Amino acid sequence: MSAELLTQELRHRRNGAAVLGLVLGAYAFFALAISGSLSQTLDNLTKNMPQALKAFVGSNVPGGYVVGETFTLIAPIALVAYAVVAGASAVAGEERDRTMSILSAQPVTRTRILLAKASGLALSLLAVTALFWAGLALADLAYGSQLTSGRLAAGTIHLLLLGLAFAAIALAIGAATGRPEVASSVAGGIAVAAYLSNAMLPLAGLGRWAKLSPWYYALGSDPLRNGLDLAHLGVLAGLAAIAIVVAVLTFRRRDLKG
Amino acid sequence: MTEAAIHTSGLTKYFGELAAVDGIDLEVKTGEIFGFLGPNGAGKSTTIRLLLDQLRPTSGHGEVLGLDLRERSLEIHQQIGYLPGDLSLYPKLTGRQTIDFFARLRGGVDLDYVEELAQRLDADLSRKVGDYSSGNRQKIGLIQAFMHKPALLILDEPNSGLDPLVQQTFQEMLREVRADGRTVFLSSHTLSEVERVADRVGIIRHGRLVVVERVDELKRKAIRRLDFEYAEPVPEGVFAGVEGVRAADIHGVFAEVSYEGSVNAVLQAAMTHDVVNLHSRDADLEEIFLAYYRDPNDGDDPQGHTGRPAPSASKDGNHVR
Repeated sequence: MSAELLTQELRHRRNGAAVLGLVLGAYAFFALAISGSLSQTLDNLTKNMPQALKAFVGSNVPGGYVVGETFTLIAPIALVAYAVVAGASAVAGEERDRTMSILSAQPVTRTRILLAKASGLALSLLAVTALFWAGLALADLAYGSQLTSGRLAAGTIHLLLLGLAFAAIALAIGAATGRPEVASSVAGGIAVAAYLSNAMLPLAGLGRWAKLSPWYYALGSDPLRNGLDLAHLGVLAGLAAIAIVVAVLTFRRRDLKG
Repeated sequence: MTEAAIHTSGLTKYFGELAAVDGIDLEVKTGEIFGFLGPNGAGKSTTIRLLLDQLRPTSGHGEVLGLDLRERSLEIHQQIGYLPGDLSLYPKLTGRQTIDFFARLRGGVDLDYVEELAQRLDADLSRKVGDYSSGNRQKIGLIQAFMHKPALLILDEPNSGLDPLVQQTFQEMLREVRADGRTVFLSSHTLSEVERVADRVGIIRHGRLVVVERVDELKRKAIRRLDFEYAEPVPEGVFAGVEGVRAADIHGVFAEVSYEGSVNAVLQAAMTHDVVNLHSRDADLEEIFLAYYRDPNDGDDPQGHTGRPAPSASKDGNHVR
């Protein structure tokens, strides 16, 4: 019976996730394909920049500027934006659309509804990142790159966990308030503030404070160079888990809208 | 099953300062059709959503099918069918996909029965819900509520959007549910929708249950009307002081008389002049209904009906326009 909820959730998310995944995958394919020829030019451009600025620009990663931009800017921002919007409407969207009334009268508990929504969200993020990685892996196969497919996978997994963390935060705010617009603006605001603090604080010599930002745990360990950082992934997973627990507890207690 | 289908005591729900539901003691018997009446905003839907554990009571408690509505809502949901007021469904699913979805959430239902319900209600299941008229959407909602033959049906404004023919079929279906020993809890803001099927009605106003009465009892007490047409204009005082008369509107040769109880005195008074035509109207529960929920403080009822006689009017209060 919960499987049916999950099926419905996946059916609901299918198109959005497929479009985003294919676009990111295609983008990743071309980005990696041209990175070889571009890297020389860009390396010359950035080689005299301070380390922190290089990190900010994204040119200090293996594969150079284009791959750097892909992993530190384009893909994570697209993924987090999707995660926030999808997470915010996962539970609260049913209330905005007034379908919660008939759904919650079925023989399923609120916890089951919420967990089905959370699983659907996680699986769609997994699908998006898998397509993104597939684009990278194809380009690597076709054109070769300085990066191994294992390193590309590591970078992708870090992004996936980042997406999961923000999706869970948005889901929790939506589950607690029943208002998707509140959830997306608050979670989106947190994501932007956290992104900026992770990018800017090191420039100001306040690198320690950047560790408060989820983005630090997605990008800070430089997974494209160093592979998976299990401690950092653990922080993101823990953040997501805490958000889901908060979501369940608050969603069970309150009055439903719609 | 001997316990009441629905039992609440002191059920109360505040939204901020506003008491949407204010100390409702409700008892719906197993196997009856209970009409839950009140104007829009009186607290009908809030009461229902408390019963379904979608809202949490500020105070008071209740049982549905003998199960505590807070502690055992999952079991309650397994045994009830619910049609929300102002129904919304998933616009991208077809009617059939919608039914399939809810059927699977219930662990499967008898698909032949779904087919039968769809045919009886003349429901179109083939198109997407977003393309349906509100009537067809309502039919999907009804199939969804009926399809697992629940012990208790909770229907919030089920008639909205249904054409008269389908309303008739729907009422037959309700009677069949009752014949089956199952229970129906039916909310509405118009009495005519429930008076033909309900055994008892409860009237809610401003969150309070004003009265619970058998429908036939209400009908017995109901105000009836006689319209007379005279050969010549009659004086305004013709029905003044006549026993049982609530109001008499006289314009020239026409007289509209509302009365309760015996018709004899009314006829005797009427026959003092030359009657050429007489038209009788059925007992109108609407008037009782209005009388019950007319606010004595503001003298205005929320539905905007004015000028209707109230049973609480003074005995000799023949008001004449």
